Amino acid sequence: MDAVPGDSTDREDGEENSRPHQYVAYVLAADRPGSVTAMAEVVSSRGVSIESFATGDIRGGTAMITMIFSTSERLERVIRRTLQRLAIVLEVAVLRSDDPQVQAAGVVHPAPGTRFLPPADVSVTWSGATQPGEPLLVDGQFLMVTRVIDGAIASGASRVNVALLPPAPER
Amino acid sequence: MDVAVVGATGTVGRQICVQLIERRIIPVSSRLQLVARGSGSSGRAAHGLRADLIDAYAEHAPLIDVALAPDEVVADVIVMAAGQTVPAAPGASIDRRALAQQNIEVFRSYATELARNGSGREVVIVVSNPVELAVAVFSSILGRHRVIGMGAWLDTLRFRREIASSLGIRRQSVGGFVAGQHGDDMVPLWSTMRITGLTTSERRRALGELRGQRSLAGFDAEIEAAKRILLQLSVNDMGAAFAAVEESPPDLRLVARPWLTHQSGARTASGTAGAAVDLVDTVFDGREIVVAGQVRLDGDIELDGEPVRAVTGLPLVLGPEGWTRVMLDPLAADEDERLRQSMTRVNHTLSEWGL
Repeated sequence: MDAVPGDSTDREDGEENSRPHQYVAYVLAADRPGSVTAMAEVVSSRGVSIESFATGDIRGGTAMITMIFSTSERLERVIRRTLQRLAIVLEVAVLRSDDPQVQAAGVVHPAPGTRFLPPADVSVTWSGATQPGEPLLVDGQFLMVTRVIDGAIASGASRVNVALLPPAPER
Repeated sequence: MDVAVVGATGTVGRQICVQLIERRIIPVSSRLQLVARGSGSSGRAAHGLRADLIDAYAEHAPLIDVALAPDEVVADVIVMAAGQTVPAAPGASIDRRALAQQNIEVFRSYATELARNGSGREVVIVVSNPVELAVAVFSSILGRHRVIGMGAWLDTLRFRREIASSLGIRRQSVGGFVAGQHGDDMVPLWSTMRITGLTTSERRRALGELRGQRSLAGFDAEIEAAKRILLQLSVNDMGAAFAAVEESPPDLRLVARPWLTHQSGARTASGTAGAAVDLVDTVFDGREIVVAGQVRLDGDIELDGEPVRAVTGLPLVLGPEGWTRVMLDPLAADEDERLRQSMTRVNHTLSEWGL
């Protein structure tokens, strides 16, 4: 392949390339001291704030770590490729948060004596919440689940949580 | 900040890795990437080198990983030390064309993959020879301000050391630079030399005594004569040859001593690595610092009113994102002429490669 010709000065990013997107990184890593620190350092040392960091399933000496951060496409590529170089990392997948493969589960404990249901225009699967005070369990695309949780908080619920699930298989 | 050393298992590459860790240039939470060829002994040795470095520097080693192909290189600073070298042996001469032929595809492959997969902000420090060719290749693909060859900095350190040694002072008391090609066409810039604690007239007298009534117009002939004598001496007594080097003026020693080191069968790995690691340290420092290096010029300076377009070594400002500008005061006439000749010769060679 021919070499990519360079400018006489540095390449500059276009506006499109520098616009931030929200990403979800799924990292399968060795379950041992220092793993979390090493992964967090890769992201934070590049000036990118980690919006969420969670340890999922731990078994057989490995752990599934999920990280949520917002950054440009260029920096996402740097972070993903750098994570892949860490000795403690076995697999890395990074998806945009609006990707259909990014699925989450949420739980809402409504305010005492109240009942909460997902907004009608949000496409999620849900169960529970048949009686006031009963928890609502919700499952679906991450951003949809997040909208449900946001709605619950707006309605006075204070005990809520969202957990990312492993990526859904591509359809 | 992460560093990748391409050619990590070579003689110079290993020294670079050791010095990066010894001098604590890379924080323990950052990464040193050892880059070698997947097929062959260097790929196997890279894993062993990783184990050895972790073993030796357990108290403060950074994270270390191994990359075995150009598309696996991921770092903020890339030290390019891969490629063939001139054999270190008595009588060995430098065939730059053969060296270029062997190494240009190595340079192109790494530069292309960096352009394709990299962050677009990496700084590349070139150690491989021919330095000017490697700088030209990387500059043409990545952009010239991100690429600097360490040759001029190494030559600068050597010149400062030779002058310091002659005056009986420490190197850190000597300032000044070497420009031009990293090779026999280098240009020792006597006019830039500074000695801490001396006034202008004291400095002029001290340096004048070291230089004698010589100019750079006769430098090529002096180099040739010196090599002839040293080669003859070295056949029977290498120690005597090195002793004879001491009798030369500092600028001639600057060329002769490393050349003789190569002739002795040793390599200049420590000095070369030291200069390369200096530049990595400068990039990591965060400030804009004046060093010397081979870079691609595109009108950054003028000679005789004409903008210069060439790859050559010059004093310049180096910072976290690469070099920003050349720092060159008006030169003495003989320096100007020798620099012009050096650039012309390098440009001619590069044009043969389409660069």
